[in-house]
Amino acid sequence: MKRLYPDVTVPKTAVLELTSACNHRCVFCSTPWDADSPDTGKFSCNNELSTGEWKKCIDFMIGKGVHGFAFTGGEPFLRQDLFELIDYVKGKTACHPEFGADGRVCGHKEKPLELTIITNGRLVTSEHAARLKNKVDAVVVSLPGLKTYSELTGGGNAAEALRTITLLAQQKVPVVVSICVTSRNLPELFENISAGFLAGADQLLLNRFLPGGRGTIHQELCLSAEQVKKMLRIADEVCTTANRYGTVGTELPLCLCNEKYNMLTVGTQCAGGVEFFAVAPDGSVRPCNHSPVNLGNYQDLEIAIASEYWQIFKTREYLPTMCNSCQHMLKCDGGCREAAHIAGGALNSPDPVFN
Amino acid sequence: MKKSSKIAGIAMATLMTVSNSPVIAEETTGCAACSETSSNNGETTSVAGDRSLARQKLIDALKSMKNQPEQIEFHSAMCYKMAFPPATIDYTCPACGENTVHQYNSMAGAMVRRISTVRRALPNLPVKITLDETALCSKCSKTERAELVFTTECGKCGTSFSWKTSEGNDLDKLGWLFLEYPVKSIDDGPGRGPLKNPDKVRAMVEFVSGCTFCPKCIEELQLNYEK
Repeated sequence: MKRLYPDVTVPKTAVLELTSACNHRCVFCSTPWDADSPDTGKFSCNNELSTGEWKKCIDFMIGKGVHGFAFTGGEPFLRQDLFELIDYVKGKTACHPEFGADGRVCGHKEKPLELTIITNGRLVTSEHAARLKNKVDAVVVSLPGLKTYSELTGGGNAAEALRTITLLAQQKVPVVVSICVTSRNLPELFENISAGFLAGADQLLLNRFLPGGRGTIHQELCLSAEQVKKMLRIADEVCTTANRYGTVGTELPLCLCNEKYNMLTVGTQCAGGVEFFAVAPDGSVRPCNHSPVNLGNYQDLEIAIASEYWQIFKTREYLPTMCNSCQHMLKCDGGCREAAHIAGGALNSPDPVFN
Repeated sequence: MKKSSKIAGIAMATLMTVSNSPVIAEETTGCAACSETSSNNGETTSVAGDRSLARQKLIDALKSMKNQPEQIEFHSAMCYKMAFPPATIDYTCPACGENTVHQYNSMAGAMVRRISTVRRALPNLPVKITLDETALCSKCSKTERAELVFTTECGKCGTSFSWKTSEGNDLDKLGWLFLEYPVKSIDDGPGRGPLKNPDKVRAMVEFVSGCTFCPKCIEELQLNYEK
């Protein structure tokens, strides 16, 4: 069938980067609008949306069919109005279609919106933890290393993040320990994940370092193919021992993760622009949080989605040439396309793991 | 002391142990998952031994945690195909622009999830195959059944013939079309190594030949297993 119309459906999840302020200076940070990023000039993140403007943005997204939000930054706990925005989202509902036996939509039902907070955890107090109870679907706490923590984040120490995980767990707030794995912290990954679980995390979210933002100039942190395989084996070993689930963020080429994992789910297809998208602190939208492009204000969301750039994500026409004869091409996007874009100059460049 | 507090204490102790270890953050070779580490500084044996002990304590602590794992439904995080998918998926018809909402886990939903990769993969085949996906559009569809209809120009005689996928298994079988030719080895799936099951090999040959050659040419080329 010849395509005459673009796919302008709005992804169900919006990642709201509430603020560009951060108490860390992570060497692996991929946010393109950060002052240290080579792409910072494309954004105007000194003009952050106000409380009222974020509420308008949330209303707009719900009106477009968004069912869930992730609040991140920068560091979202640096926003004084964070709990006001959390309450605002939790006071709203999303319209979900209901289906008949024939698979056709036969009605609609209002359901609560999903909300995840992504934080480095260092500013979370016991009072915050108590207020988060029953309000969020999960809090994702970053713990990128133990001994290497300060070196990688530019401040603080792992004990603060571990304390936050424990505080949240004690309040029965679902808590996920998130680890950005680099060539520096890989040697302590076993201990790193273990510490997160022992502190009280219910689940693991594992990300590998990808160039982008401040991380563009730290490409030595990229994992090799062998290191990626090692990362997966270690993570699955700890998850299996602890009987905890783990998920690998940042999709991997299927040829690097074609082993059987007990408790680890490994993604091989990009969800950027299709299942989620990002809104920067200045209100501009991108198909993925890694995207170094500014596709305009959220109020013109459909125009952004119809753009040639976003449509590449919708149609998945970004497979590297090296993957064109691969038997896995129906289940794999050849790794992270935006990291490939940043490292290789085009969305269909090879994933940096192959460099 | 509550058990949870005790376990959290072990997390902190782990941090202290790691922080005092001269090896963990400095080693560049060897396996991080076991004690078989070769450091370049000559301290290998004793430090690796200490680490092995610390590792065993960690493993014991991990095993002592409550047994039931929590599966958190957080699909608002980023990057990957979500482990816990949303309830619905939207399909925009490329021919008429109509938006149709499907259940994420239905057969139609599975087809919508795969359709963009199928579209992009077909032009890479040595045989010309076109796709009719109108069954996924509420406006264009002439059938109630979710199906993808493919039309192939026979790889030998050029005659056009059609075939359909309408079951979950069929979608998985589509991947067989994209094997690297000539086929030297076929992967049997995660952790299972090369495919050895003769029934599956036969099913693959029948499926691939049925998608790429017309019935007459299958006979002529003796690709029919029965014969």
